[in-house]
Amino acid sequence: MLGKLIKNEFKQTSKSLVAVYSAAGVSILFMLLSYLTKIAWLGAAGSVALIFIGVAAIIMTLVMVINNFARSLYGSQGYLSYTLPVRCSSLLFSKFFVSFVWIIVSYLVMMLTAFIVAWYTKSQSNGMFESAFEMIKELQIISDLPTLKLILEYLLILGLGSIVSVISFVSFVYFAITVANTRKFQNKPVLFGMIFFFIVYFLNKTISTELMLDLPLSIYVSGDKIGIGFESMQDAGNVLFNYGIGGKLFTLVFAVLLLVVTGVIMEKKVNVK
Amino acid sequence: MNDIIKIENLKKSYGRHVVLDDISLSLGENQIVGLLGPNGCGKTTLIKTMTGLIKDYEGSVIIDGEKPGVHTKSIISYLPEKSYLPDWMRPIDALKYFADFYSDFDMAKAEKMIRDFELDSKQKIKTMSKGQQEKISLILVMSRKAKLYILDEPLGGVDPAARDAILSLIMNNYAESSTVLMSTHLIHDIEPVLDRALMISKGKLVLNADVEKIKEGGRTVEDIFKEVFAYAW
Repeated sequence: MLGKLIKNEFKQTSKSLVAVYSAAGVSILFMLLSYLTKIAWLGAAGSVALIFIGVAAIIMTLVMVINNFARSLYGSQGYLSYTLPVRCSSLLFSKFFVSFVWIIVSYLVMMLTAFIVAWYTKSQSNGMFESAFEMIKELQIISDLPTLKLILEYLLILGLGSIVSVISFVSFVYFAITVANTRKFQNKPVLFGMIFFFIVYFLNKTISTELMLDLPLSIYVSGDKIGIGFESMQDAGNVLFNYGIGGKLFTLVFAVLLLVVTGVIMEKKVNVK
Repeated sequence: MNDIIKIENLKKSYGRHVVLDDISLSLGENQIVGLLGPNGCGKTTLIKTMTGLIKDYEGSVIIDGEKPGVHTKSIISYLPEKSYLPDWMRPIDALKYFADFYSDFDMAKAEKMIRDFELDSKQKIKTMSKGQQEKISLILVMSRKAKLYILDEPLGGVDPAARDAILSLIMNNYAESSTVLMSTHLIHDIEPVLDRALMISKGKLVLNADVEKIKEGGRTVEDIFKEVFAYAW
């Protein structure tokens, strides 16, 4: 049944995102056309459109995640969702999984649009980019900075932290909407949903920031190596790139815990209006 | 006769307002039951406890030997009082959706009913008239071979001609040996098809009787309804 839930969830949610992804595709085509035909204004228009579309893809996806969860479980569609012969935990997981995938896809679309704009700009810059890269390389040798490869690896690891941010965002939203739709709060679900979201958001932010700075567990880049260190971020003063991962670990555990609580509330306290 | 529904001391309140007050009842299989009462008497709340849409209540609700959960949802075919299908769905999508989740859903039967009612299976449901939307919902529900059909106000909001069509759709399509529980305040329309009548007044169950026995006493369900709910007028 989980597979069927996920399939139908994709079917339902894809409707609202197809338009923005199609727009990105059309803009990319415009830029390719401009590159091949050397019509500059076409490429410039495509670049501007792509930047907007990249940002719009993220915003629309986040709005869709919120709307879809609230409508399909606590609007009139809840009569359909909650009477399906499936466990509430399956219902919750299918929605979580599909939201997670869409947000990641939208981030990738945004990165792709940024990459294409950069590539197009480079192709039109008559060697300016190459000169800039040469300057950076020389600066690296003079200042004894880590290599570009190491910095990229470090950024990739930080990118994994973004996955935790996506998980926590979806978890916080689901928790807030579900609590706001229990008996005591369901007369003003939007207001209480926002209140609960900001409560868990700031609670997580406060604790995770403390742990990021003070917990002796970090990822560092020093000289020619990248690794896990057992110094807190605050104590590692002489290391150029150092990131405390205690905060992200806490956020991940907190997000999973809130998802479990959300599932229990759906199972025990649901009260579809 | 096995009990398909067994409710004991069911109580549900919204704040200080008691909606269901100590309701106990048992319903056997293979009968058509009318859940009768004026608007706001607690019929929908009672149905929502049986279908698993309300879980914060006191007392016990047992359907086919189990508490509302995955099993009970698989044997109940439920028609809510409001339109509940997503905006993006067309009838063909709704049929596929039901076929995905309910093993007792008869796709061929549903497609035939769509054709018989001259509905466009590729038109978005949200663009259809209210009557057409209600027909789609009913087709979905009656195309299942369920053990228990729970229909919340299936005749509400439609004209008398449509009521006859809806009632015959229900009577011609429910699975044999199953139980049909229909809530309504339109007694006159459904009295001829009922085997049993339940009446709820101000959250209390005030009647649970065999319709034949009521008739043997020289009365009709409608007579009793008028007597019990005289306060509501």
